[in-house]
Amino acid sequence: MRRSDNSILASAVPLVCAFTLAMNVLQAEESTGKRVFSNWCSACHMDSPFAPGTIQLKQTRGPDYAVIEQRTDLSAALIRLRVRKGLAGMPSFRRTEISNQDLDALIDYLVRK
Amino acid sequence: MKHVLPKGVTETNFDKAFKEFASIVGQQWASSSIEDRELYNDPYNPGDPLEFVSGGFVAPASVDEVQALVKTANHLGIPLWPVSTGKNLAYGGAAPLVPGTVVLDLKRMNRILEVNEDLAYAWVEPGVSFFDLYRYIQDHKHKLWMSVPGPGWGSIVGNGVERGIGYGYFDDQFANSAGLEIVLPDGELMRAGMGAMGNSTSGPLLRGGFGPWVDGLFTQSNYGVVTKMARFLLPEPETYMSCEVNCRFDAGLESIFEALRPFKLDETIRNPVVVSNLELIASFLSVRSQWYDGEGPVPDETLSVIQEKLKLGRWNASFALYGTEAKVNDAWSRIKQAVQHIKGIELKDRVYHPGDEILHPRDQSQAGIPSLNEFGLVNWMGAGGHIDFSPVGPMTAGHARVLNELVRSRVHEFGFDHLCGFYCEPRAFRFVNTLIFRKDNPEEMSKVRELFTVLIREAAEKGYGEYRTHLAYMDEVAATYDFNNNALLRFQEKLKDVIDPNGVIAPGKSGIWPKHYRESDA
Repeated sequence: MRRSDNSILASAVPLVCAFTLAMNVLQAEESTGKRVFSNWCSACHMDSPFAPGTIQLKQTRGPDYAVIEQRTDLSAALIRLRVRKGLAGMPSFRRTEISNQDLDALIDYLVRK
Repeated sequence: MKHVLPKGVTETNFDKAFKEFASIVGQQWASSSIEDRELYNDPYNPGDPLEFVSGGFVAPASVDEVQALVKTANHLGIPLWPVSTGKNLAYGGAAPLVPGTVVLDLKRMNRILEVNEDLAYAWVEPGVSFFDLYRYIQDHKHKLWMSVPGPGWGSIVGNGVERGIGYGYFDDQFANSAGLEIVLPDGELMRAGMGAMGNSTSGPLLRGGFGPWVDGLFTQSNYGVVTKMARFLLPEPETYMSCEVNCRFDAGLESIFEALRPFKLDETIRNPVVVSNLELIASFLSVRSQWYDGEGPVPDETLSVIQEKLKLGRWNASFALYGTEAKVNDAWSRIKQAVQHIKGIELKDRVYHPGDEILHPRDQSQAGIPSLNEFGLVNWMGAGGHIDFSPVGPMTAGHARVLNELVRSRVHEFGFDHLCGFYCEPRAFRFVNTLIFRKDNPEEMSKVRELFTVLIREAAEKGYGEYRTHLAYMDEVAATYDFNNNALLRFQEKLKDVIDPNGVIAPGKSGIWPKHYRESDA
């Protein structure tokens, strides 16, 4: 019995570890994504009457689309396009600013929300 | 097209250079792919985005790598265009002047080498932005304030070497710097000022050292790659008051200048007095179509509506007072007395003490809190592009009026809104006029190009020269510095020929061309 318990525990350990690892990776990705957003996006896109991106989106798309972090309609492809190609007044961002890995994390953060 | 080749460079040498660049910095940090090179385009160029297209980029992470890259570039004759964070927006961004020039992107060199609270300075690499240093100062709970420009993502080093302006106590960014380290065009490493002494105790502290002072040679220039710079910081003041002197009438501009100049001259006001027109501040807070949909400049009656809604003046002077409560209150009392006679004047003040939250955008800027609030101006016309026309004039009412009328009348004549601000130092102002256009409107861009040339010429005829300009106008502006048959430019060219005989660092920057470019264009 004891042995059996141990074997169950033993077999569960890798699963728990894998789950923990996966969660850690996800959390790390989320926190990296949030950090990238804070460092590169929020100054223009935060929920503020003075944020240029928020002002522009409110005017052109309407209040429901103004605050990027509150949107649920953003796709990975759209975020990638805007970051690398810019739009209207928004400049593009280089790989030395937002690396491909950071861009993936940013997408993950914004899309998963 | 596989490559965009710099003038006079063969495909073979270009390929070889990128192979060597990649061996120095790693494959992922050296690229001439179309995707990468277009990331360095000027996002606000009034014209073809590819007009100033790079040949690619190389991004070192250390001084050693910069030295190796510069030596390689020299050996193979590959021109490099150094950028710190590449946010010299309105003046060309990260784009090089000569198509095919390889951008030497220093963003990865982002170490904050030292923040010293006792002596109030920071010593940083070029990739450090104002946002980065602000976060560092906050995280380490230093009681120090930076002087920040409008866009917080700019480089501390880059803004310094471009001789930019900060809103804080130390207005002239370069004048309040020291500790320059430079990689020269032959790859040799040099430190200027006190740092030229190998074991100096004072490198980041004092600009001068022994012998001729050379720091200025590395500003707006193409004589080397600046890899370190110290910036002076302000110990957090006991009291900080943000002040506004706004005038409801256009005619108030002259009175504001005359009333406030004495306070700049005796240093009662240390940070720049920024006198902005209504249109400029409206562009930070709103978009044009909210107010007016027609063609041509926003009409006067609409400006009155904007003024009423946003509770602004036609001219709005903002500045700050720092120090003890008594000192700040005394200064504000004297300033109020000096301006109260101006017709239509409105005064505002907001007082802060350590620990207070600062939310007002201008108050944040003057307290060294970086933001992008002013960046809203790119939205004013929709598909926003902008370039800045920035002449210098004496800090008097008469010159402010003459220059404002010159620029405003031409800007309106060409059908644009006039957005401007005077950045006033004690004796001179820098008059920054932001020309906003739609990037998807070729006719508008063409008009802006023509307008800019007209403004350079007409301002120069009256003795006003630009302190900084967009890539497209570097030669035109340099030509206006024409004392004794452009003796200054000829001297700068002589230096270029000696310091950088192969012309690999930023050809054409500030109108300074390497010899082989000058001879081939002759």
